[in-house]
Amino acid sequence: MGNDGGASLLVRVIGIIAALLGLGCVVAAYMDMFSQRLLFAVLALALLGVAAVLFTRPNLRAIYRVATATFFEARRRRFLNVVMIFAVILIGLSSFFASLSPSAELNMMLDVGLGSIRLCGMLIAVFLGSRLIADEIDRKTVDVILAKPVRRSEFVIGKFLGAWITVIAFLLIMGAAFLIVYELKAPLLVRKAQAVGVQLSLAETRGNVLKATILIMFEMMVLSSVAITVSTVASWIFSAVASLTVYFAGQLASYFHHMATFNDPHVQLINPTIKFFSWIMYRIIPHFENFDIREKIMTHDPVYWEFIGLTAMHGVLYSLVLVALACVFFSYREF
Amino acid sequence: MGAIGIAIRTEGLTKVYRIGVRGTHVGIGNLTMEVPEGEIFGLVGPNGAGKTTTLKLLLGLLFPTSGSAEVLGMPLGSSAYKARIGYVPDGPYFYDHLNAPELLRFYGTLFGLRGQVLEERIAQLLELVGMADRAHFRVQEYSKGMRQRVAVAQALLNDPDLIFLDEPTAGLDPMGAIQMRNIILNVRSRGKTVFLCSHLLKDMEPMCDRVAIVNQGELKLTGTIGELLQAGAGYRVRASGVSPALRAKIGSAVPAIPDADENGVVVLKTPDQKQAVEVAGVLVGGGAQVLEVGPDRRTLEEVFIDVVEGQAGD
Repeated sequence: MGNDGGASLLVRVIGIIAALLGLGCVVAAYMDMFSQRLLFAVLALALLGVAAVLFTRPNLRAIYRVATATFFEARRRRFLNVVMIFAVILIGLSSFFASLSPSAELNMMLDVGLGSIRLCGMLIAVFLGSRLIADEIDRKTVDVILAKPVRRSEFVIGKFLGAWITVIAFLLIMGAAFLIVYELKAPLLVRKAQAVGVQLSLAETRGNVLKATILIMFEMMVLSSVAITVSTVASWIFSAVASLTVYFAGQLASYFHHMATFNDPHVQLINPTIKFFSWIMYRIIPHFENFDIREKIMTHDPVYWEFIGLTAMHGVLYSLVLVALACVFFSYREF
Repeated sequence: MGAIGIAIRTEGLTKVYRIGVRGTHVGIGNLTMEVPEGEIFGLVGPNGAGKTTTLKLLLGLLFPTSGSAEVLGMPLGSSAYKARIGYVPDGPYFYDHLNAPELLRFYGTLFGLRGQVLEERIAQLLELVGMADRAHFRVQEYSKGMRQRVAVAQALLNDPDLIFLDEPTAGLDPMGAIQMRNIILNVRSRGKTVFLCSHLLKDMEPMCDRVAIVNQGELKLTGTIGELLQAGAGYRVRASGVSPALRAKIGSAVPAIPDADENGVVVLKTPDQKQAVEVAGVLVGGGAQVLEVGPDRRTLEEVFIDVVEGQAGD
């Protein structure tokens, strides 16, 4: 007993140190103290993760089993397959847009293809995330699971991970479909461009498509966490509507920022209440527009890996906070 | 700390549901009871009496409004006792796309079982519940009885010290019900505790050691089966072919002789064993056929009806 108590104390001390260091890294990353934001963001996540594991001692096997069961159950859902077929058709159609110039046609293909992946990923994340827990409750399968040594938080985390893995799987399929279409069509456009004396770089575009797809995965992680969190306190329909609302509001994050910081002494256009509301919205909602780099790709702006990493870390942190909230809400639910 | 020998203890356990903004409904009120270890305990009552509410409170699926309870000496909701219990829900629902071994593998890993141990346990349990030859069927293809069997198998995966069963025989055919009863008796014979909820009293009576009757959210009566069925009863003689002459002859010993039922059987009640034997002797001597002589045990159904009608009369 004495040894257990000592070990437990040691674990707690290590957990506290990890948590403090993690919070320090969050501040360092946020304030950009050492020009190594990405490094500090990754360190922050790792240290906070270690602290969370040491404090809560989760049953990782149970989480893994719930997540995999969720994935295998989710991939059989008909609506997901319908959405995916729809996406593949859209991606296929993206290569049939006739345009004035080869570069515009390439841009159109990228815009429509990546846009289709994003749209369908969004539909899958919203509807799957909203229904997973609700369906478990409706079908009473949750009763049997929670009567086993599985904590409610482990169940929620497992469901969230299962949803995200499913979304990733579908995104990868859609991404592969897009890549096939791209590889078939893009060389033709390059030759067409060369014929009129224009150079198109496919190597750069391929890298950017990869970056865009990675960001969509993290964007859908955030959206899945929104849907799952709302579904722990409301019906799946409410959750789906709320998640879609948050998603579209998140596309307007820079607009809210502009409204909140609008400060021209000569122009008194914006009501202080609206400014305050805009500031709240800007601070609370996930900035989904940051995950969309299509415009940068099409205008050939550089897309740095650091930007990708920081945006992804931002998404992970946001999701962690939401999933933590979901765990709290779910711990009060009755079945 | 729970006392040794008590598997479940509740103290004023109460669950009040909110209905609408101001309405309330008492699911179970002020339930105080103890379930000794190694017994089959039956919680019986009509639909809506509070049986499933009690069960869900004990499983940590509902939270009590007031009162407290311990399961295997641990407070409600603790993961520690959940590792030592099994649960068979009413009308069990599982992941439809899995077959029985996949389902049991999933639940088994939640108990921390794995590898050869888990596989052997799954094979053993499928055999026990009579599903070994239909193991490859997917859950969506199962009949209600098959689901019930798999539900029992998943509840026994961890070799629990305490098993909760909600309406375990509902929806089973007679052979299935007998098999279920044998499984439950087998669990008890290995020193485990069984907590049953049911309104199927005929199934409960031969299985339970102790019964609690609940109605409208209140515990009305509790005791061992022997105490409940024996209370206030004398002896009885069941006989057929009782002629009017014989009726007159035994009239002094049995003041109220009921009419024969549709099979011609008369049940004669006497205050003690001696008179019962005398009456039986007279009947045999008079040419009647004596079918049974023994204690006049009431059935659980009769006790239950008395309790419920008493409640209605209140």
